[in-house]
Amino acid sequence: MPVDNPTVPLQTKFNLLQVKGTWVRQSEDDQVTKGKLSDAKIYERKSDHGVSWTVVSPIIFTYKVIQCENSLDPRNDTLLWGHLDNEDLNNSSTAKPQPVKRFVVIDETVRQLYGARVREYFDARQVVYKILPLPTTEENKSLELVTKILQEVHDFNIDRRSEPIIAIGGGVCLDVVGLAASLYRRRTPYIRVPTTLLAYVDASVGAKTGVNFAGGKNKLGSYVPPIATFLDRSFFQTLPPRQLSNGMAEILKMALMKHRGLFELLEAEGSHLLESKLQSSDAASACTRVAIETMLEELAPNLWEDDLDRLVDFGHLISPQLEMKVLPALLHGEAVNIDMCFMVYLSHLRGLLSVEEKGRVVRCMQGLHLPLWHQDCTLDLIHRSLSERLKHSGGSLRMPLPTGLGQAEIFHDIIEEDVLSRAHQMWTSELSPNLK
Amino acid sequence: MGKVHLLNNVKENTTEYSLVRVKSTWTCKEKHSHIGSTACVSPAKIYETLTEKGTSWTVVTPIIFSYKVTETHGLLDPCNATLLTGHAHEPQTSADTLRIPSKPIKRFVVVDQEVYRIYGSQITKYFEVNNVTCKILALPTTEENKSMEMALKILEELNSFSIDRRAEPVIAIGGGVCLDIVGLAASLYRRRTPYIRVPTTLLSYIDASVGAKTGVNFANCKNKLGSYIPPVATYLDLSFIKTIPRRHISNGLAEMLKMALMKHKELFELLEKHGQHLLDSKFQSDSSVFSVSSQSASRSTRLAIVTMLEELAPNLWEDDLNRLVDFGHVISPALEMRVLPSLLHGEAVNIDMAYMVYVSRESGQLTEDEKNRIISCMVGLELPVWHQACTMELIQSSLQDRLKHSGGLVRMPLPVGLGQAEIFNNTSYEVLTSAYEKWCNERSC
Repeated sequence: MPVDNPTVPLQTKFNLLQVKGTWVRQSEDDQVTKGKLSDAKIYERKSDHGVSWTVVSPIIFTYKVIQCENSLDPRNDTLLWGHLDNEDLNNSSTAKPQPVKRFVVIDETVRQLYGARVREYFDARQVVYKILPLPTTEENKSLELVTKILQEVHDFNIDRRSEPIIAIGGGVCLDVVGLAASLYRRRTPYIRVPTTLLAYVDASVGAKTGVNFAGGKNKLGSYVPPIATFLDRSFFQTLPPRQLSNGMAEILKMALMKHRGLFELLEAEGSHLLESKLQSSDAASACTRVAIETMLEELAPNLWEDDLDRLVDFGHLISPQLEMKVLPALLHGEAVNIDMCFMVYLSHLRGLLSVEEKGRVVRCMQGLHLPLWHQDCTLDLIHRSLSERLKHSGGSLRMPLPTGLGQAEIFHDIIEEDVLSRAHQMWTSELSPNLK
Repeated sequence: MGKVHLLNNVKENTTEYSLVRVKSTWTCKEKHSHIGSTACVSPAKIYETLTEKGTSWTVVTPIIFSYKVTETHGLLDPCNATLLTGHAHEPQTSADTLRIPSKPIKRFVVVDQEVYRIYGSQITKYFEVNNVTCKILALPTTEENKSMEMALKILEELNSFSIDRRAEPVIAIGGGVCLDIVGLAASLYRRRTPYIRVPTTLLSYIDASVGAKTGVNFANCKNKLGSYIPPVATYLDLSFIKTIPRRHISNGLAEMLKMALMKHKELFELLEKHGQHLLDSKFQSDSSVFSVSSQSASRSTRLAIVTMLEELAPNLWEDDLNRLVDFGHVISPALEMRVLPSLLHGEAVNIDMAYMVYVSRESGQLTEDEKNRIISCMVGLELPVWHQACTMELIQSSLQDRLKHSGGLVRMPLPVGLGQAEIFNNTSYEVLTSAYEKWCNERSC
């Protein structure tokens, strides 16, 4: 970002003021005009070639993440109005006499379980709605699916700003709808209602949207957040055990990276949390709340990934390749856990984790019924993943590694070949099922 | 979106948190807690509210968009480094923007087919001489194929070519359609890939190239899909205008006139006085001839750019639907699509503006003299000032559409003098029809 740098004397900084509907620029010295001041600035520099302007424009992204219960109960306002602040709510209900419209995209699986209740909700509130069920699985997470959604949104005809699209489903559904919404009219507000644990703690609280492309995971997408995410744990009641474990992997990730208390909670209560499907209990509330908080802490300051150093990348250096290679054999969280488990061994061999700490992490993962090893996660795949990482991260590995239980650092140096292969050997010898 | 009021009246049961980074980890810190001097504080904030149902968080994050618009001469001269490194920020050298050492420079370039026909060999030579590993994709970028399919085609090639995530911007060379499609493809790839715009028509020079908008058409509607991601840089080289047909130069002049009518009297007078010269000289100023008219090309384009930037920078993502730059764009979209391809974009814009000038006059916002000066200027720029397909019915349905898409208000920009304007929401049906009648009586051929 350009600053008024004394070594670049020919640059002038202009403020932008709005006077009676017209924006005018005004240099710092010239304080004459009064008007509404923008946060945006224009810097002008003259040279022999001509003039060069640099525009610096901050765009404020605001979004809400709201925990709620019984979101599909028709008496609960959240699903329809939860995205508004109180003052907007008052304006909204008095402003338009016309019927409220909502376009809803729902996971096919979720539709089978909750479709009737979703319809009842909107019927009870006299909303004009369209529910689009989609088979939102990893395999069809594509631009074709996005186009399909866009065609339906376009035909249904929603207001540009006041009728957000609602996505109800797992991470794939939320990602795909988010991308469609960010493209339509260049930006259409949307709402996320995650129905899986994984989506609840991960996909739903950041800005990322996306689809796969040319064999690469999430190769196309945007960083446009929803205006609101509604977190309702009651959806977990219908989740199969494997899906619950899948979500726990992302919670464990945050615990390992930055929250010892969360790790100890998972260690002590992991199986109970799984059995109870994270329904009402202090442990379940604490677990989900801390998972969200730690995730928001890491995402909010780096919403558009300006900084490629990201603790939340833990478990995501090797897993993309692994996941795509064995698709659909491993769920996302499962692949993440295998990656994390290997990294824990690497951490240990680099002297960052003691053997006790390593043992505790592994046992915790076992308690969460997550896979710890996979035969397709070969040393070769690891090498390839790390060189991809190097390529996509501006020439540095940026590897998050735990440096204790609930703390971590990001390492930029290249990992020596022998450390990697020793880690892989140890990891395999201790955890591969065949050799037990 | 963009609700900053939260910062001013934080509710009682809400806690405001700053985000502080120590080494690799971000942590929430309450407002008045101690923050060490070595800590990095983010401009983002998290507001946490506790209720019986659970916790609610509101995230407020500013994302800074920064981009350059740079005038240059001889962009395709191999000695001119602009096209390759002009986007790097001088005061802030970072590994992201400079060449990665010991790696050859790579560039992926999309060129409009017609532009490639004229400039292809120069473009190829530029990259060859500068030892750049280059992939040049020449595509027929027309309004009719401004679609997601075209963007996907570009994405497939981009993906195969394999560029660095941050340090190797995609380059688009062409008119508005080319720049819009490539911009969209770049904003989708890896969720955000830097790109550079090189406008080759006058219209794109003034308009498409200096804002954030990208897009493609969808379901027969103009620009229905897109994004607000600006390029890292736009390079403005007037020499491209040399090979533009006269009609297309007029086309670009319409957008310049738009800015003049909305907010710059001097620009209007320049166009009034030197319009013909600009058309005849194709904006090529002869620098050896020191006269006022020879500076008119650079002066007028510069004013058009500055006035456009003033209006776009504070409203990059169109949070505010009141936009002076919408002048000439209330009726023209429907008109343009109706008679496609017989009117160019700028021509349709001008017809819209001409009608609106009559509306302004009928409303008493312009004098008869001002109205006539404007219309004469338009005629002098060889732009159409009337069209038979622009019926009262088309005007009315455009205004209805406008109402629907702009949160219930028509938000019509109208000139209120030469080089000044305001936005109106209450223009009566009577004024609109009597303006229409006068417009037809005086201007229909």
